[in-house]
Amino acid sequence: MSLPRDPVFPILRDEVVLVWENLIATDYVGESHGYACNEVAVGTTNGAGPVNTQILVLAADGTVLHALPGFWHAEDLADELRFGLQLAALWAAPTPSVEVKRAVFAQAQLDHAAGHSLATTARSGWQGFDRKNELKRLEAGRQRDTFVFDADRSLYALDRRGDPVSKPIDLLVHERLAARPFRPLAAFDVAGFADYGREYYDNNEKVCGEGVTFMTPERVAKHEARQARDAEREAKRRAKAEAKRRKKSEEAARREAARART
Amino acid sequence: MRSMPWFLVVLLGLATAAGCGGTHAKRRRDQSPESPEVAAARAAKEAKREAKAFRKLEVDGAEVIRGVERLTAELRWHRSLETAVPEAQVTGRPIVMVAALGELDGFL
Repeated sequence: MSLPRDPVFPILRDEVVLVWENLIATDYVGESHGYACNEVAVGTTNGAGPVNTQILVLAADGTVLHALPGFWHAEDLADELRFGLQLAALWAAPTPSVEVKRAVFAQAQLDHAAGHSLATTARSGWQGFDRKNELKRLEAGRQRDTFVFDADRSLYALDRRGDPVSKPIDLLVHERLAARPFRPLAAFDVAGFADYGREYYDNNEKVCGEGVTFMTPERVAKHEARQARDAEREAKRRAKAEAKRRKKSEEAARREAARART
Repeated sequence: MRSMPWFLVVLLGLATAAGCGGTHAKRRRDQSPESPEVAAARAAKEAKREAKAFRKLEVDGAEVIRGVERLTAELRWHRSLETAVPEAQVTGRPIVMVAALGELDGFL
């Protein structure tokens, strides 16, 4: 929805080389519901559906300059792409050294997040189901960088209800990038980078209810096996019910015959 | 001419002063600039309201089609990184790789 819109479109047309990759065959991708291009599209939050969509800015040598998981509002996407172009210039420059460039990259990511507008941060909130899943993971004892820490970084900050405060997704993304400075694509763990919220994502469901469900080959196999098991169980249940019905009618016939004899 | 009782004069004076004072205070409130905290809170509230409205936005199918046509007709998409790299080397442009579940002009 954001790609054909200004101010994103001119950047895509004039300043970068484009690649489209279908993630269907990747093992980290979540289940999703897909829509034809003539169906209704809906607005959502920045970073929504992270495992099902990623936008990567890469140098020609395969270095990851910038990465965004999930959907991004056109204004924010354009801003991030422009930031990616700045990082491209830094990476391509003959100086400073790679080590210094990596340090600059990490700081630039944090600075960029700190400079986000109120509108960008407001568009980077959590959707209920994603936050719920993160809380579940936290309760299961897993350390999550998706929540805000207290000043001493020993405890999660709590809101008025006593629940951990979720970190805005725009900040989370830049913090995760800061920990992955100028990594080669082969060493950039996309799955870890995009690991937050729920795997299944369908924000269109309530609006449209049409479309198809995307499934990976493994999930298709599992789905078929489950269907076969269900069919077998159903056949057994029907056979049992039929035997019971037959037994009942035979008993009734026997009783009828006995009554006729007497 | 009979003069007013002294307490009535005082009461009238107080009422006039209070009335004028109130008007002036109100005028001052209207003209005074917002405190930075209030302005920030108001801006944050406004940003949240706009973000919420955007989440409720529905783009109809015809507009989605127009967007997809713009993307497919006016932009050149490589189907793999291998073919994009030489172009990036020649032009000096970075690569933007959109990795998504589905096809650009199909189910997405």
